[in-house]
Amino acid sequence: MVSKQQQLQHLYLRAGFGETPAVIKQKMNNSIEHLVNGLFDDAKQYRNLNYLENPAKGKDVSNFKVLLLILKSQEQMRELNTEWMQMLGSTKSVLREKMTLFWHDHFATSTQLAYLMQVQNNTLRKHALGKFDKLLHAIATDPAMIIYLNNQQNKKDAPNENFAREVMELFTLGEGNLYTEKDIKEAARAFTGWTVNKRGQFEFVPDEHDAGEKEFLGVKGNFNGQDIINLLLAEKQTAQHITRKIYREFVNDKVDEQVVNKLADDFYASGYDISKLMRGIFLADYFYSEQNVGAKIASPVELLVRFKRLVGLDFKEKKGLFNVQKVLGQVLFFPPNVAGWPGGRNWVDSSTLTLRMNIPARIILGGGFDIRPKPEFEDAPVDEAALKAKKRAEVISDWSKLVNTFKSVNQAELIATLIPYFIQCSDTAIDEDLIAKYVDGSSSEKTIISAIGAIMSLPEFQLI
Amino acid sequence: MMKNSRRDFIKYSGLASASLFMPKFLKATTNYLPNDIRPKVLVVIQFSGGNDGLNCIVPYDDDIYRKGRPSIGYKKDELIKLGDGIGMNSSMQGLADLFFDGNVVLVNGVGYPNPNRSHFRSMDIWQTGSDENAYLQSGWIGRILDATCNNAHCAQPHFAVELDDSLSLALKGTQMSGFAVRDPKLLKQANNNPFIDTIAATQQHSDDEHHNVAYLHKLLTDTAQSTDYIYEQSQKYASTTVYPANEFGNQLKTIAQLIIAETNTSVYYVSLSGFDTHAAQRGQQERQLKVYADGLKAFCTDLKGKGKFNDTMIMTFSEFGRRVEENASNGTDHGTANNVYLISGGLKQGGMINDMTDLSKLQDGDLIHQVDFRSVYTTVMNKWLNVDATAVLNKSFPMLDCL
Repeated sequence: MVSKQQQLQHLYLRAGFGETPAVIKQKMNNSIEHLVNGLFDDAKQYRNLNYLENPAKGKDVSNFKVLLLILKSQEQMRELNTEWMQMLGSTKSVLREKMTLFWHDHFATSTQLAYLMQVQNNTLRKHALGKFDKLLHAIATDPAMIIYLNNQQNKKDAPNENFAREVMELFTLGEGNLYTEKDIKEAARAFTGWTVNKRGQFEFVPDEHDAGEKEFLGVKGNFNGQDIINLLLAEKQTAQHITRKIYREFVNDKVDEQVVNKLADDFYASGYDISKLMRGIFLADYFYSEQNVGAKIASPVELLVRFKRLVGLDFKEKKGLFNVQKVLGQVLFFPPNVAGWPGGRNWVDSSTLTLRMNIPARIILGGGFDIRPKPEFEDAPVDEAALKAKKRAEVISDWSKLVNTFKSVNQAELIATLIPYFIQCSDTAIDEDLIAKYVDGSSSEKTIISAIGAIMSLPEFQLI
Repeated sequence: MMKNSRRDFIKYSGLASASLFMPKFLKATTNYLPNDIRPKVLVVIQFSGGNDGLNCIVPYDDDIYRKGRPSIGYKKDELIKLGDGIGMNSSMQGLADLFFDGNVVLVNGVGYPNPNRSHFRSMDIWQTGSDENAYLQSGWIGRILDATCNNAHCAQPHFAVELDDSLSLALKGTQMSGFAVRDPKLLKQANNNPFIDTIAATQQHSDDEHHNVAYLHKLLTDTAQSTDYIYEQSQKYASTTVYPANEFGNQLKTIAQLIIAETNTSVYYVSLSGFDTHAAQRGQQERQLKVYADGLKAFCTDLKGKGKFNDTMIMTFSEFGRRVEENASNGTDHGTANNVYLISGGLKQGGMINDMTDLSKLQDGDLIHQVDFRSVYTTVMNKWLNVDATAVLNKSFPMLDCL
């Protein structure tokens, strides 16, 4: 039986990044429907990532290659990354950000062209809860995507199939579904001439476009890129592929085929209405069932943002927040490849699980992380002297909110009271006595902090 | 904002009572390894950034090479002569010594079709062993680990060890992954959290690994056991060989000590970065090649002295080579096919296994590969690690005749 408290926490962990115990307490008397409406209302008020100015603005950019040189910046990518992380940790518009993160994984793009990555991020955010067809058309003309998947090189005389392949394999139909290698070739022809100009904007170059007849998914016509996308959207398999991925991300890695089929039917019938799809999931009984609550291994970004929201985790040096993502295996704006992050059990291995479980101790210590991320490919050789002088990534935290929430709880009931606020899975017995052994009872404040620290060090805390 | 002292941490994390709660792990059960895999060791050395192979094994007599590299090309008298018109970069004296002892196989022109010039993507392809247009989410060594899983018994994570703080995709399998440790002692200290140790040592009520709770507990227990095991192994033998005083030297020394202590690890993985030489290439590349070859020489000497060199194979690769023509900054840009070095005391025959890549037959100014990189993997898996390479790579590749 999943308690009301667990249900609320489940909603906020999956539709957002979790809420503090104080917020959960305050919402306990509201109906799920009311809270779901609240999430959608909050999603209307959002702000874009406007951290970077267009570095090419006002400059006389002679050609595309020069533009790339101007836009390429490892440092700005890092800054943009931490900017988004901070936003995830503080925004009220949690559902929109969670969806933006989902689409960032789905339309995985990784370039060092910081300003264009910001543009794409805002495009994803704009359509995150809108219509999937609009989102797909927008991303197909997104400069960072075009450059990442080489459509820049896709020309009438020398087609490049990269974008055409991924748009089917990853973005719409799913690998091996309905399409053939021939369809990829024909679609690539339709996308010829879709390029990025020297101002960093999408441009259609008619001279490079193959306007001839194509045969795609059994239909003949003088298709252009938009036509191909519309033909893909007309296939119900696209709705099936997207809802399956949504289900795996928001409900459970293990798919309930019946539920997904129904969701896909409705998603298709609604004209790809993402909000409607998500609302349906968040209001469904199965969403709150025992097998789905606490069933997912949190992604590194989910985990870090949860720590941000619970105890204000931050790093004294900006780079620390970037590096910790690196060693945990998920860096915003740097998905491993166009297929996105593998997710699920792939999030943890021997080194990352131990590191994740040690985060609470390291935050309490305030001493931070002594872990070195792998160097970038472009980095100069390791400086041995700098290695020896290396510093810990020092952390900042603020436990006062949590202490205030629980300060009036009777000492004898403290651990039993705390556990359900941090642990979501119900099929496990938490050893309260063991936690009690590691509690520092020297003051009431330290008792609360050490007890929460211990609970957050449990493997079960990794599950949301 | 609260201030926390070091003493607070010790109290909170339970360090104070560390020894009281530390259980002894049952080592007898931790060293499961299939018998037929155990004796041979593979050490993979990854050059990150795209090493310029043409300035390592140099066709100094080739007109195309000389014309393409007027500034950064090497001349005959700057090189260690390997054969007719072929020389080795003199920064790699250590590798040359091993070569002349018959302990090195040089494979030329290793790559894959439709080469990708992105560091990330090409490294992905090398680490996963995928086709150039496929995306695999597990690495080739990770899938060797998967292959050890038999009736719910898998090898321990330390079957494959990466000398780093985090794990490369190469060592991530579907069912299990390898073990990342830069320094066994530091790792043991860093993970010295008695609360977590106690949980790791607690037998779980459920063995059902279909549930993520049980999965996490099992992973935690395996990790704790591997951390302890690798630490203990690392303390068994203190090498007296002098290694270069740098990070890479330390990593190789750690590996040698583990191998000599007969650790149940079949694959070690280590990376050396700094090969992305777009500008002022000569100095930077020579420095890195020297770090590599000097470390390698010490490593092989150490192993030889303890009778382990015949059972150890070192494979060195990079995600791509570089363009034949130098650029305007005395550097080179991203290219394609490259050399792979196989080094061992147990080679059937050392030497250059195939011809240098024909510079008169380039594609867009880049080398055309002669050998699929998975042929090298297949050879090493089938002939050295005794693993069914076809199962790991999901495809058959012809083997090289060197083992």
